[in-house]
Amino acid sequence: MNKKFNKIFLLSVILLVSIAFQGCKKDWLEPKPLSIYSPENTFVDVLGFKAGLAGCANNYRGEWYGDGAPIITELIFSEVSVEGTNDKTGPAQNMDLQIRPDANLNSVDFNRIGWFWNQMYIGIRMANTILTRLPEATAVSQANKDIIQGQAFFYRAYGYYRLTHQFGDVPCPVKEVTSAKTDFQTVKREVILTRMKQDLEFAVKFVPWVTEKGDVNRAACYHLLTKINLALGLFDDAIASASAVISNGTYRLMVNRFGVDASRAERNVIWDLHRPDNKSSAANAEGLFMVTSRLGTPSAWTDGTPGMRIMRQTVPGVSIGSTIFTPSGKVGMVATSGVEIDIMNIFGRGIGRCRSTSYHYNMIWDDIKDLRHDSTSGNWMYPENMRYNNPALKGTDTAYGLRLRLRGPTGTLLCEDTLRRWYPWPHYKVYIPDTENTPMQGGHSDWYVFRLAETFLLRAEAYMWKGDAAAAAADVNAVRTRAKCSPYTAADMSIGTILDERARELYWEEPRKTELTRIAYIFAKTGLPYNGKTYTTANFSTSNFMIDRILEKNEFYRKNFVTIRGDVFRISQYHVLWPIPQEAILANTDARINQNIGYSGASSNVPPLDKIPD
Amino acid sequence: MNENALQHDHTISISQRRDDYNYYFSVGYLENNGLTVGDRYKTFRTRFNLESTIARYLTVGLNFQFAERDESSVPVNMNDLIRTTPWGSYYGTDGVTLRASPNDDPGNNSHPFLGQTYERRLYKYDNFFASAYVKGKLPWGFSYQVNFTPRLDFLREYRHQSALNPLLASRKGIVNRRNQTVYTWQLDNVLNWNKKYGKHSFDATFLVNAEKFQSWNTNIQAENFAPNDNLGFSSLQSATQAPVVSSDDQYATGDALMGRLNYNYDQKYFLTLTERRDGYSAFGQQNPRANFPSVALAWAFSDENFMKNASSWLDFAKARISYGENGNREIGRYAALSNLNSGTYVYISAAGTPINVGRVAGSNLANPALKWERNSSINFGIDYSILKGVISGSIDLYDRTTKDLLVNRTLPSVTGFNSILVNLGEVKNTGFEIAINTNNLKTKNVEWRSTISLWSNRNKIVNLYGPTPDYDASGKQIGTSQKDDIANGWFIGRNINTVFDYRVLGVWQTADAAEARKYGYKPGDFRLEDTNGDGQYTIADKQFLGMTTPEFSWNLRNEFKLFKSFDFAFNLYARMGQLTQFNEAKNVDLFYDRAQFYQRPYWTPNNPINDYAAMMSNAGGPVTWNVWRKSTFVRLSNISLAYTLPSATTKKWKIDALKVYFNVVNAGVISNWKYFDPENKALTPQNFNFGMNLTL
Repeated sequence: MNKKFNKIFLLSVILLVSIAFQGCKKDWLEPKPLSIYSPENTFVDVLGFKAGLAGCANNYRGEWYGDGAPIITELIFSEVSVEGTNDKTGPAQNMDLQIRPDANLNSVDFNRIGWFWNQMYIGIRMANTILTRLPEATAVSQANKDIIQGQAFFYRAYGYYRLTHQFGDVPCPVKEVTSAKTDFQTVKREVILTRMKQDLEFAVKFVPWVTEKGDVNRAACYHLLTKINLALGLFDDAIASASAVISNGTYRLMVNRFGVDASRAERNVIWDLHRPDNKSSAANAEGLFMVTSRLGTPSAWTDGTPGMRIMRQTVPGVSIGSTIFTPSGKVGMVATSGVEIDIMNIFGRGIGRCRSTSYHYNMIWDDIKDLRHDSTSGNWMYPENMRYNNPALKGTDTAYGLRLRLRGPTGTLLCEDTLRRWYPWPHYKVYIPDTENTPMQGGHSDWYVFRLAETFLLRAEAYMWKGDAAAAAADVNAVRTRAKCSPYTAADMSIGTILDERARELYWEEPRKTELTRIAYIFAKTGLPYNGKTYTTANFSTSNFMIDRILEKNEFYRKNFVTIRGDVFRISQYHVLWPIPQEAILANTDARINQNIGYSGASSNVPPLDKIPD
Repeated sequence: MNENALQHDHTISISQRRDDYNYYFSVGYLENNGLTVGDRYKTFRTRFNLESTIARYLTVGLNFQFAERDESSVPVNMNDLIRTTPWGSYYGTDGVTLRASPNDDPGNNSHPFLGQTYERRLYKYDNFFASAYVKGKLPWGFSYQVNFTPRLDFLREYRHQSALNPLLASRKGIVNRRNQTVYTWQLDNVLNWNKKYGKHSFDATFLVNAEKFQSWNTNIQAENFAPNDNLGFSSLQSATQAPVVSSDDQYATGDALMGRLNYNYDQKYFLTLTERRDGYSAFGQQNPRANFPSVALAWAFSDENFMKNASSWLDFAKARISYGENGNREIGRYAALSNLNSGTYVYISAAGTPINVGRVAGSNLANPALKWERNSSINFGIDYSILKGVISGSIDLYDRTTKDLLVNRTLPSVTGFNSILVNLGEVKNTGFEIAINTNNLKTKNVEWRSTISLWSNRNKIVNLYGPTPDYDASGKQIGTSQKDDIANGWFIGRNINTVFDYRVLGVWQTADAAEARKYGYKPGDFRLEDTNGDGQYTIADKQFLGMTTPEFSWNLRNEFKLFKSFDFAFNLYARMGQLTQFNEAKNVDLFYDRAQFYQRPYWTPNNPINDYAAMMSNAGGPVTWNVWRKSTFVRLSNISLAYTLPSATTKKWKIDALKVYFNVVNAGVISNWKYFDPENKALTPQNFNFGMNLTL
C-alpha cells in the first residue's frame, strides 16, 4: 500500500514540477498591458493618428484654463495686465528679482513661464511621434497621410512659434525621442522658424478648409503661417497667407446678432461672439481654431479643476477678507453666495490676480461707440456696478444695497487696495457661467485660439511694415466697424495703433507677450523707428521695442508702483526673452543649452546652431 | 477636535491536536478610533487552519483567513479645523444648518464638519487568503512540498457628497464608486534532501516558483442627480450629467528557480552555495530573468583545540564570510513600456453638436532594455557568546555594491518627458552592524536582559552614466569625463541621499535691510549664504549640507522578569544626524490674517529670532530652496508590564493561564526637532493598551 502510494506521490511530484517549469518559459514573463495603449499598436491607422492629434489640442488647451492660467503670465509681460496678488511675495511683480533661471517658474503662486517651456515641448514631442511614425503606417492612405502630416506640422509649428518668441533661440528636436537624450543644443530662432514655414506651406496644401471645430483646418494653418511669415520679416508672404483666409470666404467676421442671446435686444454682436454656447456654433463663421471644454463631457474633467475659473482671475477681488467698506466704515462685502444680493453669483468671486492696467481699461478706448467697451449694454463693468451685499448691513447701515464707492464723503478711501480690488473689466469676455463652483469662478467654455479678426489685424500689420498705411487702415477698420467704431484714416495708422486694436479685440485670447516679442524682433531686424527710437538684433536684450512699449503704456512698471506688501513692480530690457528654466540646462548633461542674455549662466553660452540637427 | 481615542481588540481562538490531524480556529474584532473626531475603523477577521496526516508519508494542510476592514467613517477636516477662528460661527443665520465658512471667508476656510455632515461612505476592504499544501517524505532523505497560495482582495469605495452641502449645492449630488478585485497566487515546489554521513551533513534545497498578479479596477463619478440625490451612492442611473467612467486592469507574472546546498563538517565548518534565477514580467521585453549566485563560509573556531584555553570564558565563536548577489525589481508593472494615456476630447460638428473623440498622449519613454538591479555584497561577521551566555551577539561589516540601480533619471524637458526609468551606474555602501545581548542579572526573583544593536551605513556614487566627451570653448573635444547629474542631485563620489541646497544662515534682521534688498529680500525673510559673494543668489551658491539618512542608529531593549510573574520591558531607539525638510519655518502656510493656525514662532522686528522667518516671508524669490534641520531623536517606543497569574491559582479557577498586561506605545521622544514628530512631521499617537489573555 505504502509502496504504491509512494509511486503515485512520485508521479504527482514530477507532474507538478513540470507544471511549475511552465513558469520558466519565455512567454510566461511577457508583459501584458491591459488598459494602456502603446505607440506601436495605436499609431497604425487613421483613428490612431487622429487620437494623437486630439492629444496635441488637449495639451495646448491648458493655457487658458484653471486657476492661475498660464495666459496670465503672457498678459503681465505686456501693457494690458499686472499681477494683482497683494498678500504674499512670489507672484511676478518685481521681474528683476523673481524672473530668474533658478526661481520657481511654474507655480500659480509665482508665474507659469515653466508651464510654457514644458507644455510646448510636450506638444512638439507628441507631434514628432506622429510625424516619425506616419511614414511607416501602411494602413493609412497617402491622401490621409498628407492631411495628418499637415495637421501634425501645425501643432509642432504652434509650439515652436511660441517658444521662439518666449525664449528666443531654443533646442529644436524634430524627431521622436526614444531614449535618454541629454545632448540638446540651442538652434537659432530664424532657422527654426524657416523650417516651420516650410512645414506649414505643406500643410496649407493638404489640410481641408473645413474640419470639425477643435480640429485643425487650413485657415488655422494659414493664420499661423502668417504669424511666422511676419516673424521672419517676410511681409509679402504674410499678406498672401492672411489673404488666403480672408478671401476664401469660408470664414467671415460676425457682424449680425446670432446664437443663444440673439433675441435679447439689450445685447449686441460682441456679446454674442463671446458666449460659451456661440463660440463653436454652426452660425459662427469667425473662429479659425478653437480649444474645447464642455461641461458634462468626459474630457471636461481632464482640466484638473472644474471650469476655466476665468472670473476668479480677472474680476476685482472685492470680497477677499474685510477690504471693502461702506461710507460709515462697516465691512461692505461678503464672498458668500446665496445671500440676498448675490453679487458672487453674478460676477463670480474675483481675486484680482490678473489686474487690468489703465492702458487696458482706459487709454485705448478712443471711440465712445465701441461695443467692446460699452457699459450700458453690460459688456464692460465697473466696481460701481456692484452693490454692498453684506447681510449684516441690512437695517444697520443705509449703504446696504447701494453701489460700491471708492471714496467716502470726506474723501477717505473705502477700499483697502485699488491694485487688487478696484478696476473695470470686460464682462463680455470673462463671464462664463459656472454651475460647479459655489460661488461662481468661471465654468466650461470653448475658447478662440485663432479668430478671423486677428487675421485682419495681422495683415494690417504686414501692410504697415511695408508702409502701406491705407491698406492697413482698411483691415483694422474691418474689425473696428464691426464693433460700431468710426473708421481710422491712413494717417491714424502705426504699429502702435494696431497693437492698441489687438488689445481691444483680443484680450485673454492673444498671447500678448509672444506677439510683442515678435514685433520687437521685426523692429530690431528692419531698423524701423518706434517713437523715434531704432533697435538692433545685436542689442536685443539691452534695448528693445517690447520693454520700451511696456514701460510707455503700463504705468505699474514705469512708475515702480509699490504694493501694500512692499513689493515693487519692475521690468528690465532683458525680460524681452524669458529665462531658460535651469533644470532643463542641468539635465542636459552632455551638451550646452544656452541661457538668455541678462540671466545668470549666460556667460557659458556657446554659439547656437545654424542648422536643425537630425 | 483631536480627541483621546479608544481602541479595542478582541480575539478568541481554539486549537486542538490529534494524532492524525490538528486545527486552529480564531475570530477577532478590532475597533480603532483615531486622533481626529470621526476617524475610526473596524476590522473583523477569522482564521481556520487544518492539517491532516493522510498517510505516514503524506501530510496535507489548508490555512484559510478572511478579514474585512471598514473605513467608512468621515473624519472632520483638520485643515479647515485649524483655520477656523474662535470668532467664527458654527451655524448659519437660521441657527440649524452648518455655516459654509465659519469665518465667512469661503475662499480660505470651510466648515470642518461639512464632510462629516454631508458625506456618506462605504469603504470596505475584504481579503481572502489561503494556503494549501502537500508535504511528503521520499526515500533516501528526500522530502517534497507543494504550496499553492492564492489571495483575493475586494475593495469597495462608495462615496456620496450631498447636494445639501452648501459648497457643492450647484452640483446636485456627487457620487464616486470604485470597485477593485485583486487576485494573486503563488505556486512553490520545494524538493529537499537531508543526509548525514558521519560528521558530514548535507542539506540541499531545490525550488521552483511561479506567481501571477491580476487586478481589475472600475471608477465612476456621477453628479447632478434628479429628481434628487436622496438615494446616495446607490442610484447612478439618476445622474443627469454623463458619468465619468474609467477602468484600469493590470497583470504581472514572476518566477524563480533556486538551488541551495548547505554543508557542514562536525558543526565546525560550514559552506552554503546558492544559485537563484529570478524572472519578472516588468523586465519582460529583453531581460526578464537574472541569475544571482552566492557563497558563504563559516567556521565555529571556538570548538577548535587551540581555543581550549579560552573555554573558561568563551562559550561559542563563529567567523563568517560571504559573497552574495541579489536583485531588486521594485518598479511599476508597466514602467518599462511606453504608456499612451487615453481619454477623450471634444470636437464640434458642423451642426454645432459636441462629439467626443479619442485622445492619446504618451506619458513616458519606453525602456525595453530595463533589467534587474543588482546588489553584490561581501560580508564579514563574527557570532559570539561569552561568560556562559551572559554576553552574546554578532558583529558584521559589509561592503555592498549596487549596480544598474532602478531610478527615474530626470530628462531635459526639451524631450517632452520629465524622466525615464533606467538602470543607472553604481553605488557603493559600506557599513557595520553590531548586536549585543546581555543577561545582566539572574537571581531567583529578578532577571534582567538587554538587547543592543548599533548600525551605520555610508554610500557613495561611484559611477553614473559613464564618461562623455568634454569640449573646449571652440568646440574641440579635449577628453572625456564623468558628469554629475545636478538636476537629480546625484554627484560622483557623494552620497546618493545628499542634500545639495542653499544654506540658510538665519533671518535678515532690520539692520540688514539694505543688504537684504540687494538680494531681493527684506527683514524677516530667511537669509541664504552667497558663497561666491557675487551679490546675487544663483545655482553657484548651492552647497552640500548633509544627508537625509541617519549617520548612525541604535536600538536598546531591556527586559525584566520579577518574582516570576511580572514581565517588564522597555524599548529605546535612535536615529542620528539626518536632515529633514523644515519649510514650515518659512511661515507661509496660509493667510494668517484671515485664519487661525498652529502657534509657531515667527520673526518680528521686536522678536529678531534667527530660526523662523516672519509671517508670510518671501519663501521663494530669485531661487528655490528648502530649509533643512537635523532631526536626531531618541524615542522611548514601548513600555510594557505584564502579570501572569501563578499556575496554582489558575488551576484552582479551572483555567490554563491568565495574563494581564499594560503597554504604552510611543511613550516619549527626546529631540531638538520642534514641529510635531521628528520621524514623520505628523501627529503620532501615544497608545495606552490594557489587555488580558485567557487560555482555557
